[in-house]
Amino acid sequence: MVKEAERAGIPAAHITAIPSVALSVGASRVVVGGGIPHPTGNPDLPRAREMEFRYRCLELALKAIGTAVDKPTLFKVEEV
Amino acid sequence: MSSEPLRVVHYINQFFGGLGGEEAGGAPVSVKDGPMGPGLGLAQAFGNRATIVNTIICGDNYFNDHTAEALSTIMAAVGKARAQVVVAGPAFNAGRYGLACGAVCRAAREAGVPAITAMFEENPAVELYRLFTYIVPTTGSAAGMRQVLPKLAELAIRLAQHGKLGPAFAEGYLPTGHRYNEYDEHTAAQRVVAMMLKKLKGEPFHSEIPLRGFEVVPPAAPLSDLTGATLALVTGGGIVPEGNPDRLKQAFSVAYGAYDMTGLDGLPSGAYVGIHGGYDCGWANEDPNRVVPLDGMRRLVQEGRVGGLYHRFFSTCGIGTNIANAKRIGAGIARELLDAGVQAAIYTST
Repeated sequence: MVKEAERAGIPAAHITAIPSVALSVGASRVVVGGGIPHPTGNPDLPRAREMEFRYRCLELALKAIGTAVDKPTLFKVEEV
Repeated sequence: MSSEPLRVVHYINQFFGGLGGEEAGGAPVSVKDGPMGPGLGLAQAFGNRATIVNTIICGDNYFNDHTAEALSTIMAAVGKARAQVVVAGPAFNAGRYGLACGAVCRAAREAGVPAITAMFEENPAVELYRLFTYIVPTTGSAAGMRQVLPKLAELAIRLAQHGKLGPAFAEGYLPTGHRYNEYDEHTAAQRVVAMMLKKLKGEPFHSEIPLRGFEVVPPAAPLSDLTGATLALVTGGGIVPEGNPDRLKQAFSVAYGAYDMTGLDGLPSGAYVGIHGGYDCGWANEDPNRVVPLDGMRRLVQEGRVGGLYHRFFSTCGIGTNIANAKRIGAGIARELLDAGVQAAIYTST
């Protein structure tokens, strides 16, 4: 699905907990998420820190959208 | 082996059969003696090893509108000609012609006559028929006719002689996706160690189980200043409004939904739920923003880092969805994004 967005000229960040699959299928801007059942969350964290984690994930997605890439590229979020 | 030339039947469309272009697309099946059109090139490559007994011509529209009828007439002619191999095309990147070639080859093979065709790798018929027939790759246009005919002729002769061809990588036809057992003097353990040693030494080696290749799509240009841009949220995680109004499937998706979030600061638990059949949706139901991060996006918009968020999010269930459907769903969403003036998107997958 992200490849179709990229094909249409829309830069698309793909947040996933299984970046190896996204990269091998050919997604261009892959952001590592918080877990398979919660790509933009982490239920183990207290609510405020989870919100912060989600915000960092999205910031990284914005960075991925703003970065010129020429092949499937991985963007990693730092620990919060 | 008999020294008689092998008997070949060649299938072509109205254009290569000299009947005309699109206006002759409705021409029904006709059977001519001997080679014609691209068959003349095939005949030259065959020399005295094989002879084109009949050329079957059919309009592309006729074939696709009256497939059963056309196939039955064609197969009767193949039988009457006592064909030892059927050759169809080359169809290059012509869609309807490719479908006809694929269908003719499949029918011939099912009737016990080996068959082979040739077309461009991206011809839509390749995906439909590669399992059922040998397809020799060609260029996208008929400019590559001269290069492909000798190859097609050689493989057709070998196919007529042996009833089958060796593996795709050795013979040069498009991989069919079939795997066959064969005997080898070395055990699997010996072969895999030999492969590993070659890999360690940086020497070329061939895997016996090549992975499926995925289409390469060049990345879109980046958008670094998002302060004036509209972004959209898309998920393969199956988040939908409670009650699943579009009745999206929980797996093996064929469709997607688009759901309004105007006025919401985040996706409220209870009002939005996960219906995805491939992961435990408990965490998503507790807080749907864990899959569709609306609350975080609102903060980015409020802070002015992103111009705006498209008022609907797109959702489907990624589980078990085949590539063709995923592509169709993805293209549909991309079209809506373009129409809505969305400049960038964030996709989440579970």
